[in-house]
Amino acid sequence: MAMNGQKLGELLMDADIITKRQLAKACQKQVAGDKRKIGEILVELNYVTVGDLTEVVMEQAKKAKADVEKSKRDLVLSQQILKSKTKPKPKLIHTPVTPTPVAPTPQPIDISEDALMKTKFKLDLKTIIAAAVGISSLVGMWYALQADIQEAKELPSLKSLYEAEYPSRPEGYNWPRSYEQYKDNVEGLQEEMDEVYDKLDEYEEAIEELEKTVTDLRIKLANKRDK
Amino acid sequence: MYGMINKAIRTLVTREAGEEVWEQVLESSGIDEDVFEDLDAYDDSVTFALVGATSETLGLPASDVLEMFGVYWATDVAPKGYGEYFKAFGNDFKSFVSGLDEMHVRISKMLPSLQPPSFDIEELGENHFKIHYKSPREGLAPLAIGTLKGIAQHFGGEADIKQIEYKGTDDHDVFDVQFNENE
Repeated sequence: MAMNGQKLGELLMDADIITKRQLAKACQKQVAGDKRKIGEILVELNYVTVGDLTEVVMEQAKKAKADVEKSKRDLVLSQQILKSKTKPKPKLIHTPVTPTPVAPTPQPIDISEDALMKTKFKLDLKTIIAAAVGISSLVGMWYALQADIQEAKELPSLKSLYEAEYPSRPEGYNWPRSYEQYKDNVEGLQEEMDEVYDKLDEYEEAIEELEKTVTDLRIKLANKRDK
Repeated sequence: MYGMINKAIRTLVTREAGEEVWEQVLESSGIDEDVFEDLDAYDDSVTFALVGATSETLGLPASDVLEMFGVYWATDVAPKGYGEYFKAFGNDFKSFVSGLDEMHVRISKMLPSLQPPSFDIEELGENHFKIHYKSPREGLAPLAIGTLKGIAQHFGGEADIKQIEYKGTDDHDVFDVQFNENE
């Protein structure tokens, strides 16, 4: 079974619990027709204990959780960078505090079709290019997020991760953790993925809004040129 | 953020990758000015734009760029700019990190627009600490990690840092830090 891109046998070797030769021997059994999972065969051969397997799987789950957390942290940073791209960059502070002017009484705004059609818009090519650059950045980020999500989807489910390794639960072992306990430790993953999906929805909405803006700008520019 | 931060990003990029790369970074960031005044306060978006453009230009994750900058800040820039404070606020990693908030309070008197983070250190064992990092800004945990690594280097060691709590999921960022003295 692959966990986060690495197979259980490799994880056990990396943890110096089994040797390459021991893994090869267990694999040979599978090749010879043994249908059991590699973990069960290794336990039967006394190369590993159930505790070893649990420890390795738990460690892997912790790493997966940490990766998700780090992705969230990086996402926050990416958002700040993205915001900075769309925001003008004025120098600030050190400016004297001036009294807030009293706002003039608002006048009713004429939003009739005639009034809107008569409204003149000032646009230049730079505005359109800036908007296009903003969209391309968002699209790039959207694809990057899609790739991350796809990778996350390919991770095994918690239950299969747990049960695939301990399908039979032979008697005589003091099983250290129940599935529920195991799940408690890593169930936050789904919630975190949901948050990533929500964030993705926000990006999609932002992209749509920007696309609409660019379309409007193009139409207005074309109208202006016609005049 | 103060111009000295943006200026230090420029110095770091120029030192590590050359003036030509800095020009590319500047162009990619969309920032017009090439000269940053140390004591002028700039919008945070300027700094984030520079970090983002450096990340794109060098092909490094933005978090790595921030971490690298944190190390550079703590090992090169801050000791030169605030050498007296560096000497006054601790003789070792732990006491220095404990004194960071106080140091920021003092520096804030000179730089009134400073919005410093706060560091709270708990000792877990010999040279093993839990450090709580709180910042009014978002996304700067890698900068804090780099800064802590730089402080460790300043005191003749290396810091092995793992982030164990994350702002957003948790109340604030928390790091597990093992300080190892160089032999």
